[in-house]
Amino acid sequence: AGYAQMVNLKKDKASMKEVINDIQRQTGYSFIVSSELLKLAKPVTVNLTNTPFETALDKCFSSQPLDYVINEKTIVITKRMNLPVVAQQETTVSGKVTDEKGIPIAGVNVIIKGKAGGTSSDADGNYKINGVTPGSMLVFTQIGMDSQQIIITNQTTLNVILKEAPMGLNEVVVVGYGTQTRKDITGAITSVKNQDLHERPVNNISQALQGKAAGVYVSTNVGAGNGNEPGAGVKIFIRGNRSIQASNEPLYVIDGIPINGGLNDINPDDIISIDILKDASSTALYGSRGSNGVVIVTTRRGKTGPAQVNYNAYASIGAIARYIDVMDGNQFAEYKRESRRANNTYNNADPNADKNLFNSIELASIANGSSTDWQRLFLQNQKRQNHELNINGGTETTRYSISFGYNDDKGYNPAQSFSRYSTRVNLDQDLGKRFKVGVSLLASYSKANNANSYYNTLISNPLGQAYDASGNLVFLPSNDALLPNPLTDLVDKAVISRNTRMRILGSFYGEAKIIDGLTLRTNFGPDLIENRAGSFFSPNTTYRNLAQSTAANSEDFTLIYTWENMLTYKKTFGKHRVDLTGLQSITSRTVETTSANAMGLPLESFENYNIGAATTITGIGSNYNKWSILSYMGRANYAFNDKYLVTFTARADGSSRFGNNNKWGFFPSAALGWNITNEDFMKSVTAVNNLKLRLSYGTTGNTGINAYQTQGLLNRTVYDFGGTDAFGYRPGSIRNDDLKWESTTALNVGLDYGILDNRITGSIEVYTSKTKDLLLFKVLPATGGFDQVLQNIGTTKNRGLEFGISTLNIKPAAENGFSWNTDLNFAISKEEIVELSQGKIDDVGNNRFIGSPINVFYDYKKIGIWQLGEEAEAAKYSSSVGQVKIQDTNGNGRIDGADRVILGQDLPNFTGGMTNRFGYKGFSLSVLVLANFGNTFVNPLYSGNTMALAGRYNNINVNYWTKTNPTNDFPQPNVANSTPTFANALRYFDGSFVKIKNINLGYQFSPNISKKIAAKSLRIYGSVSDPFTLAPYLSDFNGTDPEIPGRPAIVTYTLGLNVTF
Amino acid sequence: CKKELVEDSRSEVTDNYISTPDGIQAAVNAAYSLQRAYWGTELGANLSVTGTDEYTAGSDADRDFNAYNANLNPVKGNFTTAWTNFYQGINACNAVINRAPDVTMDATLKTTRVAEARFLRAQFYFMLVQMWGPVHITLTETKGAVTTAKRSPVAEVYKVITDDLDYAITNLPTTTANYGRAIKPAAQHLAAKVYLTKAGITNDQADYTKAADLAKAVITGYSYKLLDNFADIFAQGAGERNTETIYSVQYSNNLLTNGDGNTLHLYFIFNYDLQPGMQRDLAGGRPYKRYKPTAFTLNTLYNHQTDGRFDATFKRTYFCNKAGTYTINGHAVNMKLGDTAVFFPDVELTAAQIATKNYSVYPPSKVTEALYPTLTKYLDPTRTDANATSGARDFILYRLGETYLIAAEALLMSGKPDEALTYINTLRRRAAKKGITDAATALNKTAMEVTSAQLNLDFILDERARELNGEHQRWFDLVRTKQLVNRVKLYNSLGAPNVKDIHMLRPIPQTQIDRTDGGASAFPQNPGY
Repeated sequence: AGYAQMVNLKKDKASMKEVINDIQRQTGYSFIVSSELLKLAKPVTVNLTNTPFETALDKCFSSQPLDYVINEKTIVITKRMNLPVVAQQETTVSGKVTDEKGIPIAGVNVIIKGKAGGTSSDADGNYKINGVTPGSMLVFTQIGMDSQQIIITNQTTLNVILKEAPMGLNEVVVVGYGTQTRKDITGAITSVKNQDLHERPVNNISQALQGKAAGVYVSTNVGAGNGNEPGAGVKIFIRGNRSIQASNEPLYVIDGIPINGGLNDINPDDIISIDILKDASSTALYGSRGSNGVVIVTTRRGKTGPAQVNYNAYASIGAIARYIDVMDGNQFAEYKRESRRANNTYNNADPNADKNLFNSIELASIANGSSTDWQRLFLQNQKRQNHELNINGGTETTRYSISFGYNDDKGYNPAQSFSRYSTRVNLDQDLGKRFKVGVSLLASYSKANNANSYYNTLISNPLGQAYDASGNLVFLPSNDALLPNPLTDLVDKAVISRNTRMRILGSFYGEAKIIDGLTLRTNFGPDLIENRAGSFFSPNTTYRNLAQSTAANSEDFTLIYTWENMLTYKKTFGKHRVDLTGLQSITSRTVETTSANAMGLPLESFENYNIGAATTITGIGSNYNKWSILSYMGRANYAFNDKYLVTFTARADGSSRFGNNNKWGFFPSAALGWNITNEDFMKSVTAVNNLKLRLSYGTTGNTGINAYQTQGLLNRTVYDFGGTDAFGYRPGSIRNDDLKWESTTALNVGLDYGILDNRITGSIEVYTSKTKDLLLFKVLPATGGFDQVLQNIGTTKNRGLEFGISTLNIKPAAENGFSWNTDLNFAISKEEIVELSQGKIDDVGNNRFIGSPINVFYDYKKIGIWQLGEEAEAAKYSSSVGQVKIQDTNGNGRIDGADRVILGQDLPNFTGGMTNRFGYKGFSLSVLVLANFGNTFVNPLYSGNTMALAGRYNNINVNYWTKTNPTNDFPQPNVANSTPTFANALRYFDGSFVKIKNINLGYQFSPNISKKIAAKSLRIYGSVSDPFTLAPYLSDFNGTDPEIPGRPAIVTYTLGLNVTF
Repeated sequence: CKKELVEDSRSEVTDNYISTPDGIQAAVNAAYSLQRAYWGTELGANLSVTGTDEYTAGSDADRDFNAYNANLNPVKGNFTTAWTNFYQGINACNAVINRAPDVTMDATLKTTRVAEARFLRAQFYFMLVQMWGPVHITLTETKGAVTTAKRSPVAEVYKVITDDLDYAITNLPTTTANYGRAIKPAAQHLAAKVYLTKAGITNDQADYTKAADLAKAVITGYSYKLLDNFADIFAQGAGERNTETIYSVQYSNNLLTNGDGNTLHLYFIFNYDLQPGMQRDLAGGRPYKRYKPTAFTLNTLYNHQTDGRFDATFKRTYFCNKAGTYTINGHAVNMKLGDTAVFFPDVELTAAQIATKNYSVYPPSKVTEALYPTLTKYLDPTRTDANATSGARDFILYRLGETYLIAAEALLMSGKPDEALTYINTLRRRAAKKGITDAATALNKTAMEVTSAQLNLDFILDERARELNGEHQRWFDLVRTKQLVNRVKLYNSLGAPNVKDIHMLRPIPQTQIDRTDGGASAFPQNPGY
């Protein structure tokens, strides 16, 4: 047998190693040989031109004490037997498989290359395999580990050490509905492995993706900028925005089950890898839900072996590194005076001026020089702890992994906390040789308090007094009725805002091997989520400001199930390898909600537990919402000679949410891969170990609409006739039976490379995508009684480049020597609106502009402050000296809507992350650096009361204009204006930053020491998060953190422990 | 499996519902509720109260409406909102009117509900035609996305309105068990107003006659009567439902039915809570400082000696609700609860006189955008707390006092000043200031009477300002009588420099023009915008 390949080889006393390398490069066959054997080889002298492969081998080995065996694509070199081989003796080989730390690994697959059958290692890592002939090769494989291939000469005992897989070609990648090895991948998939996920203590695993995957932007600034608050979610954008109206968030898949929402319920420790599908070929598998990319999460499963117990824990303290810079007492007093000078009601010359302006409390503080720092009175250090206990192991037929997690986070805002209890059970049971069943079950319960009175500390008068002489809280510290003491919210049970959440997420599967290569698998994934929110606000709080107490309850119950039936067929025919997948699935989601709000609780002790006793019910409601998706999916992977790879996928989705005329969508894709390194012409390029070109093209969808949106719905109205309720319904939306998904067609070109003995590896991706049939509200003339209708109109475009590189800068000279490696990734992206609801016409009312990114800030531009001497000019613009000077963009001599300009975009156009890791003996050090450029953010602190500049509320400590301080920074405070004119122009900031996100220093104790506590492995570490940030917002505005501008900046110090028994 | 793709909708209602007996009633209720988008909101007040001789901008106002500046343009949000809300209301009414014939239900009830829908539709179109002139007419429920529209002549719009009101007057009952539903006298009052307004455009004497007849029918045909005490009209709660109220937009103390509530209580209040001796309380309200009475309203309009309406309309004295020692007028004052804290005298005081006062005093020259007497008609101390925005007051839309004024104006315009005078004097006698003795009151009543020689349109406009001050009538009154430019130039110094004839119509919302097929040629803008 063998392939009809020709070899050209001209050697004069060359080493056998060199000869092997040359043949390997020319033919694509790989050689397996031990260095001991090579030492026996004699120099080779041959001159071969277009010689058939096997003939060439014969010539090379004819005078050698070595022989060779061709085993599929592998040539195994063995010692030449002196005796003619009559019949090869079959022996049994046994041994133990361990990891680098010497911990036995169970469940390792052991096969004889080229032979059917095989075995796996048992609980103690021991294996025994029969039918081994000398010269045959044993292959040891385990997911997440580098596989090992070892030639058996004549030994019967073989102990093997498996290393955890780096980003290598044999790395197993979860591609959605199956796995593939990295070398077979045709799509753009970024894998984030165990180590990267757990270098930084995070509550939500999504945070750990920050800076780890090119093209994945993690925004912690969700909602009102609550990114560093306990239990805060994060938002992930894969390759920017595509959609205007619909969501841009990716689909999350946990252990094969697509889920709704993010990963906040999952204990990060349970997760061993995350694979991010980015291009159309990979995501088209998920059809109408794939447009925004897919995040596939894999949790830890058990392996055959004795129970292994892992305990991971950390405790951290989040210290406030930067408070929000508001004025102190003196600054506030002067600011208040200036606000009156502005309208001539404060005269410096008047000896009574202060007496007339300030009240007695303020005057006393001014006289004493005292100042109340409300933030420091209110805030505390954040305290977090996390514990995880995992037990895993298994027998030959049963494998289990059970874990318990506890996370507790007491926020820097004392009114906030989050704790989560979670357990996960993963079970796999073999039923004979052909059948397998299993389950992944997550149960999680979390409790959060998320009241937020922090803002009031920023606007409270620093001349006010928090406590009276006897130490009691003063309700109105500065006698201002709108400024109640923020500390009153911290009185026990005065403010309650608790959320409890329970989730049971299961994935049950059954698998049958029907014939060799053909597998049928069925997955059933129920997901039950129960959310309960309860709140109570007592009258003596900033929330109620002495008004009646309020209480509210709300509850939503979600039931989602996914049922999938999947048929896969994997087979190799000579040089041809096929991998076929067919899938049928159904997903359905039902949400029921109820809520009740009340006012005037007779007893504060009722909290939110006796709403019916309240004097007034202010709201009550319930809701039902259901949607379903039916799907059929097919995928074909074909590889020829390990050089040429082809993938076709197609999915048909039927969604209840689409219009009656468009229930079904079809999403095809194709991808090509070319392993260039396996080509003959690359054989001589020794520096290149891997070079693969990938090309993919396909269409994905975005369901993007809520249930019932295609139907003509009625809006509920409230009215009363003389106090008798008169609820009503009026036409609310226009029926649209043609409504369908948004579709994104994307082209991706990728290059994977590995050079210099794979010391430099990585990928480059270039993509362009076009999203059409955008789900946009087409605006209508209001005369029809509707001002919009949801239609499929509009187009956006998205282009980008992603670059990832991993380098081994210093290779350890010896085991435990000094090592240094670097992972670097960055992405550049550009969004563009191509067409909107009225064609290529800007939609100014919605801040959407043809040719601009999807979310831009369109507003007046501040160009300075009107200065003394510019009175006449300012008056022309209906402004005055000391006020904001706005750019008269069109030069028409007045400021109107047409003078607004695009001030920036919400997402950065450059994001990057770099991780440097150093190792020496047991020590490891990793440093993660993040960089973001090109985004603008709206700073909540620079509008509203914190930037009112009206001399009432405390203000951000800005450099404001006065007659003696003719700055161009901020306008003159003026009591006559409730906010500065064109105040909105003050709130836009450059979001660029470079920050050291995390530093982690760990120490792995030697086995001798860990044995003393009966542990197999023991590691301790310390880490610092967010220690250093470089950003214009910090340097120019004394800001806190451009990622979370509305909150103080926190630096978190963590001590952690990983121990395995 | 296919069944899975059929939507399972349980808490949503689809449009078929309106074709049921319950659905018809629900759609009528919805049409009523859309009145709340205008009457009882800042939007409604911006479009009718400010920018007139009655009211100018308070310190926190949206000044554009008062200043008639360049920002009062087709992209101004309030115009779009009002326009959209009125057409939503019309579409709800159309759904009722179009579908009712095919719905099987009690015939009388059906006729009544349709008549209510036609009353409401007339009211919405009346608002549209007054503000924008020629507007789009649609009398059928909109199905599907409609992108065509055209501006029909004003006469055609009035034809729609009067047809609807004819139907309503014929078919509405004279009373209702559901207080707040449209009844026949409300339709008559509205029709009177419509004809009066229409006559201002057509100069058709017959319209004045119809207006006068309709108004007289309301005054004499029912048990309505003017209250003795002017201030009682605005007594909150049950008091609002008095013998003078013909029709009001409903609000309630029930937060479940009150929506955003009547928020007018917020806008007419000055910053009393920042005055020495004062703090914010429920009675005082939450000061948004949107609308300030003009100097004309405060100093010229009323005869402060004989006309009781000035003090019934404005709160000029505030009593201390936060005792303490304050520096007032240059000296320390130890103020006790209930002491006078703020006073707005209607005459000038010298500095020396002011210095003697133990309270803050703001004579006319010291009245500013943030310091002015408060209009009391909308104050709402029944709210849950001082900062609550949701108010419970009914918005009195049509009341007998105005019916008298409509009758008087229509009669005057049809050349019957003597008959007009009887209505004016009746109203004015009721408004006379209560004296210490009955005799003093009687003297005031006599003093309030005017002669037919004094009666002219200008007088009627002033009388309307005195009677209906702040009641969302003024901009329309000035437009109807073509006195907007004249009066604003005379009495509203902020609006004076800019106000022009073009302001007698509002700009068509730019979105309406942009979204209509054919754009500005299909749906032209009003001249000057």
